[in-house]
Amino acid sequence: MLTVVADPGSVADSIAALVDRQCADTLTMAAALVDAMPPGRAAPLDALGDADLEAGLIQPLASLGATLAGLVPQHRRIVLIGTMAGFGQWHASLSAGFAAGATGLMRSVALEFMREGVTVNMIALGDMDDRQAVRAAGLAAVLLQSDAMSGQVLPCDGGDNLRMTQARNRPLA
Amino acid sequence: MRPQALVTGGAQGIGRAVAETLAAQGWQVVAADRDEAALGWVTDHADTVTGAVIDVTDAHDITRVLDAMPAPDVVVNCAGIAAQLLPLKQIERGAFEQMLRVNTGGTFLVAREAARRMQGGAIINIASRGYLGGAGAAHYVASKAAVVGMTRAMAVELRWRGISVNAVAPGMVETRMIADFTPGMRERLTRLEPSGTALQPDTIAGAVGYLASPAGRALSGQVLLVDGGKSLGVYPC
Repeated sequence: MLTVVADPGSVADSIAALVDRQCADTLTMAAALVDAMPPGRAAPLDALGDADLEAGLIQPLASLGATLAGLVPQHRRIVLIGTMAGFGQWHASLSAGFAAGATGLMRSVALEFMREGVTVNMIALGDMDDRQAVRAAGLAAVLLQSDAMSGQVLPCDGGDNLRMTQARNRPLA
Repeated sequence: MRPQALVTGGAQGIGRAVAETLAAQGWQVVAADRDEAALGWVTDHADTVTGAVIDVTDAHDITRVLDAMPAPDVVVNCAGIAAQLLPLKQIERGAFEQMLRVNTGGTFLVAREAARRMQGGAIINIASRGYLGGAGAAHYVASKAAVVGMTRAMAVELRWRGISVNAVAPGMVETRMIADFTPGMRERLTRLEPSGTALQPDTIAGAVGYLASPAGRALSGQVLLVDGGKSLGVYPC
């Protein structure tokens, strides 16, 4: 049984649909796939207002905490769909804050519920296209059926992060 | 003129130690804090440190403090709150939001307002070793991990303006924050420290002083774990 916590039509929802097709019948325990994509807008630090802080970081991160609290320990395999933003990107002060905060939250939940057999991991997406969604779904399917790892962030970007180009790719004004 | 530094949370603990260290290193320091009474210590350093009352969750208040001083060369975000250990399911929504609003939002607002005025320099954010994860304080961990993520993104964006942005992630430090812990919790946490004791605020201030120095500004987007090795899984024998 796979619980999906994602808005219809979102990237996480698309990935969940693929996961459902791959492994819904083979899941042996309650599992959940949770949208942890930063909801904030991309903008230079100077252009991010107080409302952006509230809507892009404080409210969604607190909501993610409440979501995870509602899922554990009944759901013993949890995968968050997040992004690479937490590693640092242009015009992403709040998105990076949310992404890294979600990582810290995920690791804390993984640690707190480890003894109850719960695993929690995050897939960190890079630039998304259909091929990446399939890759992410494959990775999620593995994580949802395994207790081999917990508290980990798995970049799913085809290795793009190895090029360390985020800081160089300055967006056009 | 001495270079200018703004230190939030400067009334006590790590913030006060940072303010004193920077003043000793030749900086003109504004120690800003919500607790006006606790800022009394600055009167003994009147030539190099001035106090200012600030609420880091209020952008207008931050603007008021920054407008009253020359453009800062260094900003150190020390203001923050800690939490008693609490299982995830017992953390109330309001407490979670407040933790984020002060620890993460405060850092964001001060950095944004300061960056608008800075002509190069350094922004140093105090995170916590806990950003790596810790059971029983998920909201605190999330707030400090978010500070680390913001630090990296700000570093990418501000380095082109000659501003370095780094974080210092202390382990357990002897401050009023931990003095407020219950004796049992304090003893339990202290036992986990590699040295068997909490770090002193001066130790953290030393790392901040380095990041504020010309040599330290060669670093950007980094997290200095100043935790006696606890993050390596080092436990006392």
